[in-house]
Amino acid sequence: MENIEPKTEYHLKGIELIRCTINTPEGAPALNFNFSISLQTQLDVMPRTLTVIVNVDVISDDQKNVFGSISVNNVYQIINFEEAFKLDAQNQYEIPPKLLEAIGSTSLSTTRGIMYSLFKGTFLNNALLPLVDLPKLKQY
Amino acid sequence: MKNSKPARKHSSAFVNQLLAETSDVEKAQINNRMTLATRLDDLIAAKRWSKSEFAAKVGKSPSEITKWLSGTQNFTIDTLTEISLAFNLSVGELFAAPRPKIINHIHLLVKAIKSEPIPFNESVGKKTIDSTSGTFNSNYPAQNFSLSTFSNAQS
Amino acid sequence: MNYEIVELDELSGSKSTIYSVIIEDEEYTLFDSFVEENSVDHPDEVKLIVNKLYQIGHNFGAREQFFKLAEGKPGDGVCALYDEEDNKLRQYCIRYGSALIILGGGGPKPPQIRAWQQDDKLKKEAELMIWISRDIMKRMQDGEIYWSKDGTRLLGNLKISDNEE
Repeated sequence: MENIEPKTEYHLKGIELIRCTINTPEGAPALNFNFSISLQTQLDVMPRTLTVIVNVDVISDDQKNVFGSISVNNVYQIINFEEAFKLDAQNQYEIPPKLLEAIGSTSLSTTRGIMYSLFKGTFLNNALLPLVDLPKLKQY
Repeated sequence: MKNSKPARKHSSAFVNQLLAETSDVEKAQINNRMTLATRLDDLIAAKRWSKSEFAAKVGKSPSEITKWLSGTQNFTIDTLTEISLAFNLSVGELFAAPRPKIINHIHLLVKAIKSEPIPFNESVGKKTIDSTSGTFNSNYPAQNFSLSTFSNAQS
Repeated sequence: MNYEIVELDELSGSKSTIYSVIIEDEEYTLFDSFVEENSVDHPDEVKLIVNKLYQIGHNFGAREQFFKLAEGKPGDGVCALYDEEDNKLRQYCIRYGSALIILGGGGPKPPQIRAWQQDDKLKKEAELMIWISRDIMKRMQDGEIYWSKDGTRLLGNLKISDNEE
Protein backbone atom coordinates (compact mmCIF):
# COMPACT_ATOMS: atom_id res chain seq x y z
CA MET A 1 0.00 0.00 0.00
CA GLU A 2 1.19 3.50 -0.67
CA ASN A 3 2.08 5.84 2.16
CA ILE A 4 -0.89 7.41 3.86
CA GLU A 5 1.50 9.73 5.56
CA PRO A 6 4.90 10.53 4.10
CA LYS A 7 6.73 8.30 6.53
CA THR A 8 4.54 5.22 7.02
CA GLU A 9 4.68 2.24 4.67
CA TYR A 10 2.53 -0.79 5.40
CA HIS A 11 0.60 -3.60 3.80
CA LEU A 12 -2.08 -6.06 4.82
CA LYS A 13 -0.23 -9.15 5.98
CA GLY A 14 -3.08 -11.41 6.95
CA ILE A 15 -6.74 -11.85 7.83
CA GLU A 16 -7.78 -14.40 10.45
CA LEU A 17 -11.36 -15.35 11.15
CA ILE A 18 -11.36 -16.11 14.85
CA ARG A 19 -15.02 -16.65 15.57
CA CYS A 20 -18.41 -16.66 13.86
CA THR A 21 -21.69 -17.57 15.52
CA ILE A 22 -25.31 -17.36 14.43
CA ASN A 23 -28.07 -17.77 17.02
CA THR A 24 -31.45 -18.16 15.31
CA PRO A 25 -34.10 -16.56 17.54
CA GLU A 26 -37.27 -18.42 18.38
CA GLY A 27 -40.56 -17.03 17.17
CA ALA A 28 -40.81 -14.04 14.82
CA PRO A 29 -37.71 -13.08 12.89
CA ALA A 30 -35.73 -10.12 14.10
CA LEU A 31 -36.67 -6.79 12.58
CA ASN A 32 -33.96 -4.52 13.79
CA PHE A 33 -30.29 -5.24 13.86
CA ASN A 34 -28.09 -3.28 16.19
CA PHE A 35 -24.34 -3.61 16.30
CA SER A 36 -21.91 -3.65 19.16
CA ILE A 37 -18.53 -3.06 17.55
CA SER A 38 -15.18 -3.28 19.26
CA LEU A 39 -11.88 -2.33 17.60
CA GLN A 40 -8.72 -3.14 19.46
CA THR A 41 -5.35 -2.26 17.97
CA GLN A 42 -2.25 -4.16 19.14
CA LEU A 43 1.38 -3.37 18.43
CA ASP A 44 3.78 -6.31 18.25
CA VAL A 45 7.33 -4.99 18.13
CA MET A 46 9.32 -8.07 17.16
CA PRO A 47 7.41 -9.00 13.99
CA ARG A 48 6.77 -5.25 13.42
CA THR A 49 3.05 -5.62 12.99
CA LEU A 50 -0.12 -3.81 13.97
CA THR A 51 -3.14 -6.03 14.50
CA VAL A 52 -6.68 -4.67 14.52
CA ILE A 53 -9.07 -7.07 16.21
CA VAL A 54 -12.65 -6.36 15.18
CA ASN A 55 -15.44 -7.92 17.25
CA VAL A 56 -19.01 -7.40 16.08
CA ASP A 57 -22.12 -8.57 17.91
CA VAL A 58 -25.45 -8.28 16.11
CA ILE A 59 -27.87 -7.60 18.95
CA SER A 60 -31.55 -6.96 19.65
CA ASP A 61 -33.05 -3.56 20.49
CA ASP A 62 -32.96 -4.30 24.20
CA GLN A 63 -29.35 -5.48 23.82
CA LYS A 64 -30.26 -8.69 25.63
CA ASN A 65 -30.07 -11.06 22.69
CA VAL A 66 -27.06 -11.66 20.49
CA PHE A 67 -28.23 -12.85 17.09
CA GLY A 68 -24.78 -13.35 15.70
CA SER A 69 -21.20 -12.44 16.27
CA ILE A 70 -17.94 -12.36 14.41
CA SER A 71 -14.34 -11.73 15.34
CA VAL A 72 -11.67 -10.96 12.75
CA ASN A 73 -7.93 -10.25 13.14
CA ASN A 74 -6.51 -7.87 10.53
CA VAL A 75 -2.71 -7.95 10.57
CA TYR A 76 -0.68 -5.13 9.01
CA GLN A 77 3.04 -5.30 8.36
CA ILE A 78 4.85 -2.01 8.99
CA ILE A 79 7.72 -1.84 6.52
CA ASN A 80 9.61 1.15 7.90
CA PHE A 81 8.90 0.48 11.56
CA GLU A 82 11.84 2.35 13.14
CA GLU A 83 11.36 5.30 10.81
CA ALA A 84 7.59 5.56 11.28
CA PHE A 85 7.28 4.95 15.01
CA LYS A 86 9.31 6.99 17.44
CA LEU A 87 9.70 6.32 21.12
CA ASP A 88 8.36 8.97 23.47
CA ALA A 89 9.73 10.01 26.84
CA GLN A 90 8.02 7.04 28.52
CA ASN A 91 9.63 4.62 26.05
CA GLN A 92 6.27 3.99 24.35
CA TYR A 93 5.90 3.96 20.59
CA GLU A 94 4.03 6.94 19.06
CA ILE A 95 1.68 5.65 16.41
CA PRO A 96 0.43 8.29 13.92
CA PRO A 97 -3.33 8.82 14.49
CA LYS A 98 -4.02 8.89 10.75
CA LEU A 99 -2.49 5.43 10.44
CA LEU A 100 -4.73 4.15 13.23
CA GLU A 101 -7.79 5.61 11.47
CA ALA A 102 -6.77 4.16 8.11
CA ILE A 103 -6.20 0.63 9.34
CA GLY A 104 -9.29 0.86 11.56
CA SER A 105 -11.44 1.76 8.56
CA THR A 106 -9.83 -0.89 6.38
CA SER A 107 -10.37 -3.50 9.08
CA LEU A 108 -14.04 -2.57 9.46
CA SER A 109 -14.53 -2.86 5.71
CA THR A 110 -12.79 -6.23 5.62
CA THR A 111 -14.93 -7.45 8.49
CA ARG A 112 -18.07 -6.16 6.75
CA GLY A 113 -17.25 -8.25 3.70
CA ILE A 114 -16.55 -11.37 5.73
CA MET A 115 -19.75 -10.84 7.72
CA TYR A 116 -21.81 -10.51 4.59
CA SER A 117 -20.39 -13.67 3.02
CA LEU A 118 -20.88 -15.69 6.21
CA PHE A 119 -24.37 -14.40 7.05
CA LYS A 120 -25.65 -14.58 3.46
CA GLY A 121 -28.68 -16.84 3.16
CA THR A 122 -29.41 -16.79 6.89
CA PHE A 123 -31.81 -14.59 8.81
CA LEU A 124 -28.85 -12.21 9.26
CA ASN A 125 -28.60 -11.72 5.52
CA ASN A 126 -29.52 -8.05 5.92
CA ALA A 127 -27.36 -7.41 8.94
CA LEU A 128 -24.93 -5.23 7.04
CA LEU A 129 -22.27 -3.62 9.18
CA PRO A 130 -22.93 0.10 8.85
CA LEU A 131 -20.33 2.56 7.64
CA VAL A 132 -18.46 4.18 10.49
CA ASP A 133 -16.52 7.38 10.00
CA LEU A 134 -13.75 6.81 12.51
CA PRO A 135 -12.14 10.28 12.31
CA LYS A 136 -15.48 11.85 13.20
CA LEU A 137 -15.72 9.91 16.44
CA LYS A 138 -13.54 12.53 18.03
CA GLN A 139 -16.35 15.01 17.65
CA TYR A 140 -18.60 13.07 20.00
CA MET B 1 4.75 -50.31 -0.93
CA LYS B 2 6.84 -47.84 1.02
CA ASN B 3 8.14 -48.85 4.41
CA SER B 4 6.72 -46.08 6.58
CA LYS B 5 8.12 -47.24 9.88
CA PRO B 6 10.01 -44.69 11.95
CA ALA B 7 13.44 -45.39 13.37
CA ARG B 8 13.87 -47.85 16.19
CA LYS B 9 14.13 -46.10 19.57
CA HIS B 10 17.42 -46.51 21.35
CA SER B 11 17.82 -45.91 25.06
CA SER B 12 21.34 -45.07 26.19
CA ALA B 13 22.53 -45.97 29.65
CA PHE B 14 25.39 -43.46 29.30
CA VAL B 15 23.07 -40.58 28.46
CA ASN B 16 20.61 -41.55 31.18
CA GLN B 17 23.33 -41.59 33.79
CA LEU B 18 24.71 -38.21 32.79
CA LEU B 19 21.27 -36.59 32.78
CA ALA B 20 20.55 -38.06 36.22
CA GLU B 21 23.85 -36.71 37.53
CA THR B 22 23.04 -33.19 36.37
CA SER B 23 21.74 -31.09 39.23
CA ASP B 24 18.67 -28.88 38.91
CA VAL B 25 20.88 -25.82 39.18
CA GLU B 26 23.09 -26.98 36.33
CA LYS B 27 20.05 -27.75 34.17
CA ALA B 28 18.59 -24.32 34.85
CA GLN B 29 21.91 -22.63 34.09
CA ILE B 30 22.19 -24.37 30.72
CA ASN B 31 18.55 -23.59 29.95
CA ASN B 32 18.95 -19.91 30.82
CA ARG B 33 22.08 -19.51 28.71
CA MET B 34 20.36 -21.07 25.71
CA THR B 35 17.19 -19.06 26.30
CA LEU B 36 19.15 -15.83 26.30
CA ALA B 37 21.10 -16.86 23.20
CA THR B 38 17.86 -17.69 21.38
CA ARG B 39 16.28 -14.41 22.42
CA LEU B 40 19.34 -12.48 21.28
CA ASP B 41 19.25 -14.20 17.90
CA ASP B 42 15.57 -13.35 17.50
CA LEU B 43 16.11 -9.72 18.49
CA ILE B 44 18.94 -9.30 15.98
CA ALA B 45 16.75 -10.86 13.28
CA ALA B 46 13.81 -8.61 14.19
CA LYS B 47 16.00 -5.54 13.77
CA ARG B 48 17.25 -6.95 10.45
CA TRP B 49 20.81 -6.42 11.56
CA SER B 50 23.68 -8.61 10.45
CA LYS B 51 25.92 -10.05 13.17
CA SER B 52 28.58 -7.55 12.15
CA GLU B 53 26.16 -4.62 12.53
CA PHE B 54 25.11 -5.79 15.97
CA ALA B 55 28.77 -6.35 16.89
CA ALA B 56 29.53 -2.75 15.93
CA LYS B 57 26.64 -1.47 18.08
CA VAL B 58 27.94 -3.20 21.18
CA GLY B 59 31.61 -2.70 20.40
CA LYS B 60 32.51 -6.36 19.97
CA SER B 61 33.93 -8.54 17.21
CA PRO B 62 31.66 -10.77 15.09
CA SER B 63 33.34 -13.86 16.51
CA GLU B 64 32.43 -12.67 20.00
CA ILE B 65 28.80 -12.38 18.88
CA THR B 66 28.93 -15.92 17.48
CA LYS B 67 30.04 -17.04 20.91
CA TRP B 68 27.21 -15.07 22.55
CA LEU B 69 24.70 -16.79 20.30
CA SER B 70 26.08 -20.28 20.84
CA GLY B 71 24.28 -20.85 24.12
CA THR B 72 27.49 -21.26 26.08
CA GLN B 73 28.06 -17.70 27.26
CA ASN B 74 27.71 -16.76 30.91
CA PHE B 75 26.86 -13.05 30.58
CA THR B 76 27.73 -10.47 33.22
CA ILE B 77 25.10 -7.96 34.23
CA ASP B 78 27.19 -5.21 32.67
CA THR B 79 27.21 -6.95 29.31
CA LEU B 80 23.45 -7.56 29.55
CA THR B 81 22.97 -3.88 30.23
CA GLU B 82 24.93 -2.94 27.10
CA ILE B 83 22.95 -5.45 25.03
CA SER B 84 19.58 -4.27 26.34
CA LEU B 85 20.43 -0.65 25.55
CA ALA B 86 21.32 -1.60 21.99
CA PHE B 87 17.74 -2.91 21.60
CA ASN B 88 16.01 -0.18 23.63
CA LEU B 89 14.82 -2.80 26.10
CA SER B 90 15.15 -3.33 29.81
CA VAL B 91 17.39 -6.17 30.99
CA GLY B 92 14.26 -8.01 32.14
CA GLU B 93 12.79 -7.83 28.65
CA LEU B 94 15.84 -9.66 27.29
CA PHE B 95 14.59 -12.79 29.01
CA ALA B 96 11.00 -12.64 27.89
CA ALA B 97 9.47 -11.81 24.56
CA PRO B 98 7.20 -8.81 25.07
CA ARG B 99 3.50 -9.38 24.49
CA PRO B 100 1.66 -7.30 21.93
CA LYS B 101 0.71 -3.95 23.45
CA ILE B 102 -2.83 -2.68 23.15
CA ILE B 103 -2.46 0.84 21.89
CA ASN B 104 -6.06 1.68 21.02
CA HIS B 105 -9.49 0.35 21.91
CA ILE B 106 -12.78 1.70 20.56
CA HIS B 107 -16.20 0.36 21.43
CA LEU B 108 -19.22 1.45 19.40
CA LEU B 109 -22.90 0.74 19.80
CA VAL B 110 -24.79 1.34 16.58
CA LYS B 111 -28.56 1.30 17.04
CA ALA B 112 -31.12 1.00 14.27
CA ILE B 113 -33.59 3.88 14.52
CA LYS B 114 -35.85 3.08 11.59
CA SER B 115 -36.62 -0.10 9.72
CA GLU B 116 -39.31 -1.77 7.68
CA PRO B 117 -40.48 -5.35 8.13
CA ILE B 118 -38.56 -7.86 6.03
CA PRO B 119 -40.89 -10.61 4.77
CA PHE B 120 -39.05 -13.76 5.78
CA ASN B 121 -40.03 -15.93 2.83
CA GLU B 122 -39.48 -13.38 0.07
CA SER B 123 -36.32 -13.63 -1.89
CA VAL B 124 -33.92 -10.98 -0.87
CA GLY B 125 -31.64 -9.04 -3.12
CA LYS B 126 -34.13 -8.44 -5.94
CA LYS B 127 -32.86 -5.54 -7.97
CA THR B 128 -34.21 -3.53 -10.86
CA ILE B 129 -32.34 -1.11 -13.00
CA ASP B 130 -34.18 1.87 -14.45
CA SER B 131 -32.49 2.16 -17.80
CA THR B 132 -33.82 5.67 -18.54
CA SER B 133 -32.72 7.35 -15.41
CA GLY B 134 -29.86 5.08 -14.61
CA THR B 135 -30.99 4.68 -11.02
CA PHE B 136 -30.66 1.47 -9.12
CA ASN B 137 -33.52 0.17 -7.00
CA SER B 138 -33.28 -2.54 -4.49
CA ASN B 139 -35.88 -4.06 -2.23
CA TYR B 140 -33.43 -4.05 0.64
CA PRO B 141 -35.29 -1.98 3.20
CA ALA B 142 -33.41 1.11 4.14
CA GLN B 143 -32.13 1.08 7.70
CA ASN B 144 -30.92 4.26 9.27
CA PHE B 145 -28.44 4.01 12.06
CA SER B 146 -27.32 6.29 14.75
CA LEU B 147 -24.13 6.11 16.72
CA SER B 148 -25.67 6.24 20.15
CA THR B 149 -22.82 5.48 22.52
CA PHE B 150 -19.17 4.79 22.27
CA SER B 151 -16.08 4.70 24.34
CA ASN B 152 -12.55 5.35 23.19
CA ALA B 153 -10.04 3.80 25.53
CA GLN B 154 -6.36 4.46 24.84
CA SER B 155 -3.93 2.14 26.64
CA MET C 1 29.50 -50.42 5.41
CA ASN C 2 26.09 -51.22 6.88
CA TYR C 3 24.47 -49.10 9.52
CA GLU C 4 21.21 -48.35 11.29
CA ILE C 5 19.73 -44.96 12.13
CA VAL C 6 18.13 -45.03 15.58
CA GLU C 7 16.21 -42.41 17.52
CA LEU C 8 17.74 -41.42 20.87
CA ASP C 9 14.91 -41.78 23.33
CA GLU C 10 16.22 -39.59 26.13
CA LEU C 11 17.32 -36.69 23.95
CA SER C 12 14.52 -36.45 21.38
CA GLY C 13 11.68 -34.12 22.21
CA SER C 14 8.98 -31.91 20.81
CA LYS C 15 11.42 -29.39 19.35
CA SER C 16 13.82 -31.72 17.62
CA THR C 17 14.21 -35.43 16.87
CA ILE C 18 17.72 -36.60 17.70
CA TYR C 19 19.16 -39.70 16.06
CA SER C 20 22.47 -41.47 16.06
CA VAL C 21 23.96 -44.31 14.04
CA ILE C 22 24.85 -47.89 14.90
CA ILE C 23 27.60 -49.18 12.63
CA GLU C 24 27.31 -52.80 11.45
CA ASP C 25 25.90 -54.78 14.38
CA GLU C 26 27.56 -52.97 17.24
CA GLU C 27 25.75 -52.51 20.52
CA TYR C 28 26.32 -48.81 20.90
CA THR C 29 25.67 -45.79 18.74
CA LEU C 30 28.39 -43.44 17.55
CA PHE C 31 27.23 -40.96 20.18
CA ASP C 32 27.33 -43.58 22.93
CA SER C 33 30.93 -44.30 21.94
CA PHE C 34 31.79 -40.61 22.05
CA VAL C 35 30.33 -40.34 25.56
CA GLU C 36 32.03 -43.46 26.80
CA GLU C 37 35.42 -42.62 25.29
CA ASN C 38 35.57 -39.11 26.75
CA SER C 39 33.67 -39.28 30.07
CA VAL C 40 36.73 -40.21 32.11
CA ASP C 41 39.09 -37.49 30.87
CA HIS C 42 36.49 -34.76 30.23
CA PRO C 43 33.47 -35.53 32.45
CA ASP C 44 32.17 -31.96 32.78
CA GLU C 45 32.36 -31.25 29.09
CA VAL C 46 30.62 -34.50 28.15
CA LYS C 47 27.87 -33.80 30.69
CA LEU C 48 27.43 -30.30 29.25
CA ILE C 49 27.19 -31.67 25.70
CA VAL C 50 24.54 -34.21 26.71
CA ASN C 51 22.52 -31.56 28.53
CA LYS C 52 22.75 -29.10 25.64
CA LEU C 53 21.45 -31.79 23.30
CA TYR C 54 18.64 -32.51 25.73
CA GLN C 55 17.68 -28.83 25.70
CA ILE C 56 17.85 -28.78 21.90
CA GLY C 57 15.52 -31.76 21.68
CA HIS C 58 13.01 -30.56 24.26
CA ASN C 59 13.11 -26.76 24.38
CA PHE C 60 14.87 -25.00 21.55
CA GLY C 61 15.26 -27.09 18.43
CA ALA C 62 18.49 -27.49 16.52
CA ARG C 63 18.91 -23.79 15.76
CA GLU C 64 21.90 -22.90 13.59
CA GLN C 65 23.40 -20.73 16.30
CA PHE C 66 24.12 -23.81 18.46
CA PHE C 67 26.35 -25.40 15.83
CA LYS C 68 29.53 -24.81 13.91
CA LEU C 69 28.25 -25.29 10.42
CA ALA C 70 30.06 -26.48 7.32
CA GLU C 71 32.42 -28.88 9.05
CA GLY C 72 32.08 -31.34 6.21
CA LYS C 73 31.84 -30.79 2.47
CA PRO C 74 29.53 -28.08 1.08
CA GLY C 75 25.86 -28.94 1.37
CA ASP C 76 26.21 -32.23 3.25
CA GLY C 77 24.88 -30.81 6.53
CA VAL C 78 27.82 -32.10 8.54
CA CYS C 79 28.52 -29.77 11.44
CA ALA C 80 29.73 -29.78 15.03
CA LEU C 81 28.05 -28.79 18.23
CA TYR C 82 29.46 -25.33 19.05
CA ASP C 83 32.59 -25.55 21.15
CA GLU C 84 34.62 -22.65 22.48
CA GLU C 85 38.35 -22.24 21.96
CA ASP C 86 39.18 -23.57 25.38
CA ASN C 87 36.85 -26.57 25.10
CA LYS C 88 38.65 -29.87 24.74
CA LEU C 89 36.14 -31.87 22.70
CA ARG C 90 34.55 -31.71 19.28
CA GLN C 91 31.35 -33.66 18.54
CA TYR C 92 30.09 -34.11 14.96
CA CYS C 93 26.54 -34.36 13.67
CA ILE C 94 24.43 -33.97 10.56
CA ARG C 95 21.87 -31.19 10.83
CA TYR C 96 18.69 -31.32 8.77
CA GLY C 97 17.10 -28.00 9.69
CA SER C 98 16.08 -27.23 13.24
CA ALA C 99 13.87 -30.29 13.72
CA LEU C 100 16.21 -33.20 13.07
CA ILE C 101 19.84 -34.03 13.76
CA ILE C 102 21.91 -37.20 13.56
CA LEU C 103 24.67 -37.39 16.17
CA GLY C 104 28.00 -38.89 15.31
CA GLY C 105 31.22 -39.32 17.17
CA GLY C 106 34.03 -36.94 17.88
CA GLY C 107 36.99 -36.60 20.15
CA PRO C 108 39.56 -34.37 21.76
CA LYS C 109 40.73 -31.45 19.65
CA PRO C 110 44.44 -30.83 20.11
CA PRO C 111 45.12 -27.10 20.58
CA GLN C 112 47.73 -26.99 17.85
CA ILE C 113 45.40 -28.03 15.01
CA ARG C 114 43.24 -25.70 12.98
CA ALA C 115 41.18 -28.27 11.08
CA TRP C 116 40.02 -31.86 11.64
CA GLN C 117 42.14 -33.05 8.77
CA GLN C 118 45.17 -32.52 10.99
CA ASP C 119 44.09 -35.01 13.67
CA ASP C 120 43.64 -38.74 12.99
CA LYS C 121 40.75 -39.32 15.37
CA LEU C 122 38.78 -36.23 14.34
CA LYS C 123 39.48 -36.98 10.69
CA LYS C 124 38.11 -40.51 11.07
CA GLU C 125 34.93 -39.31 12.82
CA ALA C 126 34.32 -36.39 10.45
CA GLU C 127 34.86 -38.51 7.35
CA LEU C 128 32.50 -41.16 8.71
CA MET C 129 29.75 -38.54 9.13
CA ILE C 130 30.45 -37.16 5.64
CA TRP C 131 30.11 -40.67 4.22
CA ILE C 132 26.89 -41.36 6.16
CA SER C 133 25.45 -38.02 5.07
CA ARG C 134 26.17 -38.76 1.41
CA ASP C 135 24.70 -42.25 1.67
CA ILE C 136 21.51 -40.98 3.29
CA MET C 137 21.22 -38.27 0.63
CA LYS C 138 21.54 -40.88 -2.11
CA ARG C 139 18.88 -43.06 -0.50
CA MET C 140 16.58 -40.04 -0.14
CA GLN C 141 16.96 -39.34 -3.84
CA ASP C 142 16.05 -42.98 -4.52
CA GLY C 143 13.02 -42.70 -2.20
CA GLU C 144 14.31 -45.35 0.14
CA ILE C 145 14.53 -42.91 3.03
CA TYR C 146 12.11 -40.02 3.25
CA TRP C 147 10.67 -37.39 5.61
CA SER C 148 7.52 -37.68 7.64
CA LYS C 149 4.78 -35.25 6.57
CA ASP C 150 5.59 -32.85 9.39
CA GLY C 151 9.28 -32.92 8.52
CA THR C 152 10.39 -34.05 11.98
CA ARG C 153 11.19 -37.71 11.41
CA LEU C 154 12.96 -40.00 9.00
CA LEU C 155 10.97 -42.91 7.62
CA GLY C 156 11.68 -45.78 5.33
CA ASN C 157 14.56 -48.20 5.25
CA LEU C 158 16.66 -46.98 8.15
CA LYS C 159 18.61 -50.20 8.62
CA ILE C 160 20.99 -50.30 5.70
CA SER C 161 22.34 -53.78 5.01
CA ASP C 162 23.10 -53.73 1.33
CA ASN C 163 26.30 -51.73 1.33
CA GLU C 164 29.57 -53.37 0.48
CA GLU C 165 32.28 -53.53 3.15
